[in-house]
Amino acid sequence: MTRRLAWLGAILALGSAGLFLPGYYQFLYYEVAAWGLLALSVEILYGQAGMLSFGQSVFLALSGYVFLHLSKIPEVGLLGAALIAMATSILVAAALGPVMVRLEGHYFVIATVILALGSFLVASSLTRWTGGDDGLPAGPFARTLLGPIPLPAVMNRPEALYLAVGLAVAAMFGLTWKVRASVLGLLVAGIKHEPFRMWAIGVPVASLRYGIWCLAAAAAAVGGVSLIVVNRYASATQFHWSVSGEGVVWAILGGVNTVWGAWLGAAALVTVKDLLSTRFAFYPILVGMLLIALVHLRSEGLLRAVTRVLGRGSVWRHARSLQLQSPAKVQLMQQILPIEGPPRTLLALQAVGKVFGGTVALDRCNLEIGTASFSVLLHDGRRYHLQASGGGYPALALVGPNGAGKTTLLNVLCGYVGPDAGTISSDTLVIESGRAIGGIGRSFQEPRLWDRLSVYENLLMGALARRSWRDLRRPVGADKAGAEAAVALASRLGLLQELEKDASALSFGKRKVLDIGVALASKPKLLVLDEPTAGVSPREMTELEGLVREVTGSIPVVLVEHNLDAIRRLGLPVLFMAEGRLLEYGPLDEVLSRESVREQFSGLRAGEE
Amino acid sequence: MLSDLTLAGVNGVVWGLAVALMAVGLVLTFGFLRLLNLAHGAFYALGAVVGFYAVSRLHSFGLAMALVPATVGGVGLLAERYLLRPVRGVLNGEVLITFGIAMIVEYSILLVFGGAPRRLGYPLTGNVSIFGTPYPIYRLFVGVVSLALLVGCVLVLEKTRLGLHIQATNQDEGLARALGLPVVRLTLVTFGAGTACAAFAGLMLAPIVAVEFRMGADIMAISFLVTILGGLTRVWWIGTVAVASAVFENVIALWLDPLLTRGVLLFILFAALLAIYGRKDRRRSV
Repeated sequence: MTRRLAWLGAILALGSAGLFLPGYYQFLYYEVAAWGLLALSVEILYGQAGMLSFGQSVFLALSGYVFLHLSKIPEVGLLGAALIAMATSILVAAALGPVMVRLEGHYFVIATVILALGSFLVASSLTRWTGGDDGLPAGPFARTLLGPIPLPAVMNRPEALYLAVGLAVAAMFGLTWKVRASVLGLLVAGIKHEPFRMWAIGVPVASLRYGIWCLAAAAAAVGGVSLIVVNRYASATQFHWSVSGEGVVWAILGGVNTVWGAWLGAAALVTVKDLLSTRFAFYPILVGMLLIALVHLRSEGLLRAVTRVLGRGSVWRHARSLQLQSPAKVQLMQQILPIEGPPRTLLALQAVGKVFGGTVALDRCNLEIGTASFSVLLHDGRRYHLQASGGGYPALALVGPNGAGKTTLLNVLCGYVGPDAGTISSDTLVIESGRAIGGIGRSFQEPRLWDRLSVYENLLMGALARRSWRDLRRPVGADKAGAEAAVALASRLGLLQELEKDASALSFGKRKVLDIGVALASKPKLLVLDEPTAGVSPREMTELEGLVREVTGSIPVVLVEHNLDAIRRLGLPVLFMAEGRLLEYGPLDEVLSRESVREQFSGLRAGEE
Repeated sequence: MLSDLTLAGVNGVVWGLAVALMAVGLVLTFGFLRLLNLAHGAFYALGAVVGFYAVSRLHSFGLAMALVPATVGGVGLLAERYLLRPVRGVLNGEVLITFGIAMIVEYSILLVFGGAPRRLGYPLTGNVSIFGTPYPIYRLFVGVVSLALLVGCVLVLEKTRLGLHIQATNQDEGLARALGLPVVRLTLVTFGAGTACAAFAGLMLAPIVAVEFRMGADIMAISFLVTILGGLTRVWWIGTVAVASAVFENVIALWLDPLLTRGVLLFILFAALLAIYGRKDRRRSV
């Protein structure tokens, strides 16, 4: 309750602060406040989600023009006009969003440029409605608030309109702040740095991007209405992508990935723009030079420079404030969802085939993976059952020469690639067009981590990956279950000392451990490991083997491994693959002694002995 | 009516070939270097303005045709060497830098050249008759020169060692480096050539369109779209898309306001882009 009041107070204070300034500065305060929303819009997309957009000006200008025209109509009223204007912009964004957010990298950037330019050209041609480049003046505003409700007398004072703008802007600020601190904010940051891994741990990447896209449009839409109220003027040039570009520069100058930064950057440059108003050509040149300098200096912006001095971000502080006790010895079992109930089938592959450009990667593979047993049907028709021993879980190692299709099989199991032939079914997981959606943890040969986030945040990402939509809006710090899981997991993985370090600062072996940790944190029902011990030092190898041993006792596991000694020590049964076929199954040494395997595998066998 | 349509068609082909020339610049920078060059339109405008000054001082369009690509291409070389190379590999770094360059170049033009649109006189006067309507020879000249340059570009890319090196660098930069190709210098030359293409297109179109500081925006957007839709590095396809969209635009412009037409064209191409690249599941590659 007190927190709510504090927020409300802060919003009121921010929104009204400008009223106490003298004449011109009062105007400047609210002009910066409104333009800051354009920078915020860019910041939400680019800073938080890594999507560089030059199209935010469209949503700003569109809502501005709608408001400009509707605000004259008494039947609509000022508030009604503002609401309709913002809704229009947001609806347009919502309609474009589903396709826009699926564009990657450069294509997204270019699409936003074209969106803005196309809108600019259309707006320029519709001079009757937009006034073209010369623009249209706003007002006189209707004297009604909403339909028949008259405007309160106090609203006739210019200060009242300024205050309304201030409150709207401050509310948008508060909303963005909340989103950034929420579970959603953390997941979006994860998407920015490693979208594929986010998708792999079961995060609905496209949906979250869509949400962020709409939020960004909302910020721009509020900004558009606010600008009309403050400036009393709109011009078709506001659609132009270079206007968005200015917003990009403001956001970067203020500090990417900060919320305050948007206004800091806007304040600095809008003031300069006003000062240079008589020589307006100098301002864009200055902005261009500034942008080049900022990028060259790898600058994190004004605000980042301050926070860097003040200390690290808030996520870990929240966790520490929960005063989690990290038990000396934690059983890994506890972190993983206990698989309850009768034995179930996780994945059943029937005659699955996959061809890459003429190369057969998988050739009619039959494999059934259950919570209590695996079942293999070899290419020559022999069938084997693998039963878990003594209340544990089944585990299987895939071996075979390079190009045998091992990694492809893993990718098919995880749902990263759909099969060309055959069927995949499950009575536990959701399967969409041959792909399992969520529920399968995967570690990678080359660890795929969020390098610029801390170890703690990496583990948290896994733990929070599959939260429901309701939980997404809660602050990261309030998610005690997630924090506990992450810390407990870190304790077992031996990463407690490194919790605050960036993932990029870890040694390769620790990165592999963390990679498995992220997969475990998402509480999978099946764990798939791609060469867990490849490329690490002997000492780290022992550590990783210990981890894999413990994991194989806690959850069904399928792994690919070239290190036959490690497989022998772990005592895993092996499935031998070559040329995309499942050829042999059995204990390692038995399989290796078979004639067909010797032929295919002789190089490796000779090297091994 | 028929003659209007024919004229619009011829105009479209000429304009489309010029757009293709712009797009060839993007094939080099965006297609081969994978560098999203938002300054391409600014270099186009710079080419037109430098051409304007060159023609008015030297009174020779032929001389300008040599001078403009050389000078603006030189600016491109400097930009690559000192502004872009240091940020190669920084996420979105190059996009932001080229946006900065675009701002600087465009508004420097505004400072020096002024904001009022100006037009260069036709360097080749005289008309040919198309369906009884006189048609300026110069426009046909633009089409022919653009086509010649397209052919030249394809020949360089496919028949010369330089072209082979550029293609090799595009396909696997690491391998190209390991084979001892001068990747850094190739990048420099490719970017310079891309810039020169834009400037040359600007000069050739200066007598046809109005020369002003923001003239590059639309044509840049259209060339980006035709480059992407044509397949990034497939010059013939890109040329075809460029000509087809330009003919379409010119025919539609018989009925609609030209600005609106261009806006509509952009949105149609934009929709095609979304339809092709915005499909589900493209990202799920491992």
